[in-house]
Amino acid sequence: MMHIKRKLFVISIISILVLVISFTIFPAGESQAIIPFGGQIKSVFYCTCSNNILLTIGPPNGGSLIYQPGGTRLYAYGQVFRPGPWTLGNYSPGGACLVYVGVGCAAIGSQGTIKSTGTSL
Amino acid sequence: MKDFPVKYAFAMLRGAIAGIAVTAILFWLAVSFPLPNIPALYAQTAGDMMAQIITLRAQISLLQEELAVLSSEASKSAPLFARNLGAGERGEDVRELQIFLNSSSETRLATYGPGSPGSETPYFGRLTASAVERFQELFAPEILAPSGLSLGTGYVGPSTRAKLNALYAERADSTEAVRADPASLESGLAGALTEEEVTFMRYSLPVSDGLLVTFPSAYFGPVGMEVALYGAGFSSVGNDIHFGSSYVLRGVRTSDPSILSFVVPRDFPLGYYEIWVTNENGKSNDGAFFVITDPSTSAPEIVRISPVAVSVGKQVTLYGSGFTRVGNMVRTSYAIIENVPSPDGKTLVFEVTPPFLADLPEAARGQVQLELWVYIVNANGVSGTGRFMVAY
Repeated sequence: MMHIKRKLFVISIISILVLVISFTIFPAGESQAIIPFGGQIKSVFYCTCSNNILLTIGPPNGGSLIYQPGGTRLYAYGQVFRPGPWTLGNYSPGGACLVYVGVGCAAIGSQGTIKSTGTSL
Repeated sequence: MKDFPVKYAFAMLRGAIAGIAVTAILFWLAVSFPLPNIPALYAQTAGDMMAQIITLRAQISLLQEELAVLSSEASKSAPLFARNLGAGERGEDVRELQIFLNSSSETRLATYGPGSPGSETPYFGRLTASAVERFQELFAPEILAPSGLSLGTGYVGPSTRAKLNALYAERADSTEAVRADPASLESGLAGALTEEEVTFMRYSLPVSDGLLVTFPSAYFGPVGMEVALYGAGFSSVGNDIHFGSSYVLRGVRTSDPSILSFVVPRDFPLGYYEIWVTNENGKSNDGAFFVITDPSTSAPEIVRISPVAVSVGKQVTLYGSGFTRVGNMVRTSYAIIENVPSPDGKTLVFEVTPPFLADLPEAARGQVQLELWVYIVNANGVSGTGRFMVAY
């Protein structure tokens, strides 16, 4: 009994130490990088499981980015759901576009979730 | 008793390995699969959220309009440049002077660095003096001739101040409608973002891809208004700006391949024009537009939208003013709908059919709620922002 207690005590102490050291070395802010993007909207795709929208942005600095309703801050002129307008904004890595595939949800790759964006009219 | 320390050491080692393994797995999971950013508003119903948004935006728009009116009145009642200015002077009026001079390509202080648009300073230095000289020579009959001068002095004395204040007031009048527009106050792409972000966009555009027009600094205005086209591939001389297929502003110069400024020509008819540019790099893309408006008419205005939440495939009605009987263009977040009529000039009806919400699976039904933005573009100009929800 004493042996198990001692083992649990040691595991707990070491876990706490490792966690403290991890958060010191990798502060939370670094995992939420803010990355600028800008380019013309090429395609718009509704993600049926995650209820967000995957935008494909063209050059000069585009990619596959998620527009998160209620999360993405939208500036004028708000033209984000059709191909054509030019966008400029920033995003953070993370987030998912999940699509219903009949028996469940599958993820479509993206570079991150848009934090804020403005568009041309 | 003899081997107890060895057993104890093994126990510690096993504990350490287990602890590190568990922590490493937890840490990897946390970094690789961060929790989705779900705002607190999700705890409310969509209806509550929509009501809050609409109320807050209405308040913001009202305050912005009041602020615009107050600013306009203040700018009319007091001269902006109230003292003489020369080399070595410091003050916020110097910064205002630089901003004013930078608003025209002919008197711009610099393209890059201190003094350039967005980087104006409160110090009256060599660049400011040089820009003032050019300004004085542009208006030589009014500023220099009365003193028997033909070349600019770079010193902002009474006659220069008088001209600056007169032009400033004139410009405030001509842009009043634009500034009072909430969409304009939210500023659109060019203004809503920081100067650094716009600079990033401008200078990261690939010139090798040819000629691009991304967006204009304004989408409507009267003749005589100065407008900048942002993009890439503009040449130093020989840019032709096309207003539709019938009118061309030829040989526009620029020192910056990403900005092309022009003054809306006085001899171009009022109306809506697709805008594109041609030069030695070819022809720019489609998509940009500008409406030359009559300054005596008011831009279209969206006052109310009904219903504020609409199902896919249903109709929505915009209530407001300044709609034309025919030829209204509805620019929504999801599509451009052309030639929408408004028989009474006060209401305008269109069907909400976002293509990206077509053919959704039945499993998605009841899950979709998105806010859409809408603008009216017609011969009177461009409306402020209207917003409504679409549901599926």
